[in-house]
Amino acid sequence: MIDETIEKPPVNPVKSDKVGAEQFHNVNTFRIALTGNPNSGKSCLFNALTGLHQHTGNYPGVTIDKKTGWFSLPGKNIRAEIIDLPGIYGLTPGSEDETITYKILTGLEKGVQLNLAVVVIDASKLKRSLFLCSELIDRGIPVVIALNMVDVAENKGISVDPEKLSAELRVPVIPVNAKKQAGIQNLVQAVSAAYRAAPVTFPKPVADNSPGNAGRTIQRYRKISEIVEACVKISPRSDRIVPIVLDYLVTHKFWGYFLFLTVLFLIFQAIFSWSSYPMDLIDSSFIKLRIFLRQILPAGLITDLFTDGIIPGIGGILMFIPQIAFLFFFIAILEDTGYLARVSFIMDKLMRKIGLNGRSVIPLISGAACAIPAIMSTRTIKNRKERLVTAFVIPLISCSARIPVYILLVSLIIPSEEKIWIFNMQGIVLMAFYLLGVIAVTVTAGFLRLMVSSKEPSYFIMELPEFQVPQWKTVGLTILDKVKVFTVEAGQIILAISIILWVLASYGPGDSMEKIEKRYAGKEFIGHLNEREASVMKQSEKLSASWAGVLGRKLEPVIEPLGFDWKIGIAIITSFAAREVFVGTMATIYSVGDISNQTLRNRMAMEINPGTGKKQYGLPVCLSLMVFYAFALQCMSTIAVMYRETRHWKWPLLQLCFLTGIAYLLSFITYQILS
Amino acid sequence: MKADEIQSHPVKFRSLKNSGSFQIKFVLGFILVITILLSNCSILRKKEKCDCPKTGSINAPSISPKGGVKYMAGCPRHNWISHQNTLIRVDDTMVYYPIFVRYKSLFITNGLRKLSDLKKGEQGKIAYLTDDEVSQKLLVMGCLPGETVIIEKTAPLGDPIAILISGYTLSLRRQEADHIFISG
Repeated sequence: MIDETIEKPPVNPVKSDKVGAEQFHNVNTFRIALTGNPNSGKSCLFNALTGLHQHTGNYPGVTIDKKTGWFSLPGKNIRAEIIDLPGIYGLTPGSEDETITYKILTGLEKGVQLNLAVVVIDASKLKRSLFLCSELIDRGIPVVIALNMVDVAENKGISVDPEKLSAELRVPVIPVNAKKQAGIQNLVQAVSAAYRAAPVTFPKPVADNSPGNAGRTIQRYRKISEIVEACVKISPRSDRIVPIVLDYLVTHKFWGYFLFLTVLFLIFQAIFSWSSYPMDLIDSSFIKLRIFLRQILPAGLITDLFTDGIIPGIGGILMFIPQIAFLFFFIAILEDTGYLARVSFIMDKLMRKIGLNGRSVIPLISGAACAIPAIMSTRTIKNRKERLVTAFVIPLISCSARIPVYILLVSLIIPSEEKIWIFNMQGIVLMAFYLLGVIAVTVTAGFLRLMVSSKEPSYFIMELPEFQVPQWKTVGLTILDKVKVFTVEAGQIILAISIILWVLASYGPGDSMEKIEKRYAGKEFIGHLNEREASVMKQSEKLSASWAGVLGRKLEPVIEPLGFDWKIGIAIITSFAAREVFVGTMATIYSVGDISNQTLRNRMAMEINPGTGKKQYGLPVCLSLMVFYAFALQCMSTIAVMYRETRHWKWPLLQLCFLTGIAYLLSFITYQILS
Repeated sequence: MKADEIQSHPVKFRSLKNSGSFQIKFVLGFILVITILLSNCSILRKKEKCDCPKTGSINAPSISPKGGVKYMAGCPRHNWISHQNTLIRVDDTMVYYPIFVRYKSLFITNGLRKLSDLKKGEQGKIAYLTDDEVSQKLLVMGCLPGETVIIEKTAPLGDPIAILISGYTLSLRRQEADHIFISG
């Protein structure tokens, strides 16, 4: 597939009108590609060059973020657009990110025409870094080298002569320190000096993964060795002790896993409990906003849409921000320090057994708090197949939204006093459901490994970078970026679905809604009820008469084999907004015709099944419902985020059908065995 | 009577235990001696069979493959290959020519080790990589023939290994390390 695209000649900018227009557009922008090996401080330099003038988009058809930024060239009144490409080692298309980098650097990506490539080179690994650089020079791309990490190299006793390197390679070499933001101005000057208005036209590219290429690679490296020998002086230096000890500890048989568990515990605490404070704040302020708007706006359809549809929808999106921010705070630090690579190093064998990668561990564990940030964090997995499988199974881990549902249902089947030795029985059942999720992940991932075909083989060839102090600016920008992506891209879908759900829950067929309004408007009907009770009853009657109620009744024959009635059917539909809505919906439904002010639990416990004359919420129904909630993809935000991460509706829909199908099957088995 | 029994029991027990441990020690020692002898023999035999001109004796095992070349033998320890009665020095680029790659089994039998067989702390020089996609990836990352590798560590569960190569740490799975052959 790659070969075909390679054979295509590059688009001729003059002949096609469309591209011609693009060329015109390009007159005042100077396109620069920022490229280099992974861990060479490329992103750091990108942030130093552009600051907040950056934007994350996406390449068409693939799931790799396209980061572009701007800075102005001194004295020329020209804006330079810089593209931060994924880190690669050589111009060999392989994985998704390597292919996209390859395409852009060789001019095969339509609409992206480069004027210049800035290659970030790690001075402490000069030989390996120069490989990519030499390939670019050979292809005739104008190159400016940013010689980064000179200080790291000097600590190791490696001193590089930039002038000599520049003379050997015949390209400008600018020493920079991306971390301390030193030398940035010199780099901008060099870029400015290299300014050429016309984009590079590439010679017809040759397929680089042809047989016999290995020999060429070796010959290229031999030449690079000569250059390196000419401009590098090595003096023996003792290793620094702290990184060595740290490295020993984090990959140790016992301490490695112990530290990993501690880190996981911290992450889990952060997204589980610390983020609940800002989340509650967002929640309560949105409730206040709703009340306020309802007071100042005239009653009517538009106001209802605003206060009951759009505002709670936006609130539901913003609710996830604290969790996303916390998770990416940790992930950015772990990635930046080089710890994440070591976590995958110690976990790879375990995870490979179920078809995943060592990097799948953190997304899976954070899935226990919330699937949304967890699915977003699967980006750190490089292999497409492993990333897809991980994202696919994350919703099987019981997330925090399922806890209210579990607690309500467990309290119905097990009295809170029941204990086994000193352990509370309810707690044991809850834990069993978490374990069920873990088992489901193992089984499903093992199954999917066989189902999902992939041309891209699973590799674990990666650098273990040295330990570093994290860059707070990078961490901050990562968080900002992730939050922005979620609210803008996944948020649109979430908002649309929440408006649909609102319409379903507040409108009914024909004039059923008006009839209820009228009935409650008449004073004599309310009789002995006070105002609050009357409004609660009106709400629940409206819900059962709405489209959601109609749908719930229509669903009844489908969900009857699971032991569910139409009331549960309604709750299943509305809890698509978020799983915990189940409890609220049940509370609303069960307030119909009930004036005893009982708690929902007691009310549900008293419910008698008219068909059998037994308790409706006995062991079979409750367990079946819990199993259903453990497996079903009952979350529109997960679907939205899955779409955003895979760029295709195929995956979220497949996930929805597959997981809900499993949920149905297992609830069916549970109910039929128990009843 | 009973008192005697009680007294005699510990003695009996002790003597049994002693004789048992003596047997085990004897067997273990015997096995050890035999293994040492056997391993020495095999080392000696290997030395004798070296067909390298440096050691003098040309006792080349001949293989007749399907391809155009009729006879081939070599000594990877000294990087020589005999090809159609001429001895060729094995160059690091040369091992990539298809004809040599086809005889990689010869290299393995003649004392080259896979990188995955090396233990923690051991080091060696890369002799060649088997030619496929993995090795292309490894080459680009600096795993070149002639480079010195040190096994820095293995993951606690034994699988991915970390090697020190050209100034940095690279981690790779054992199945990927199978593609790298080490001499020395």
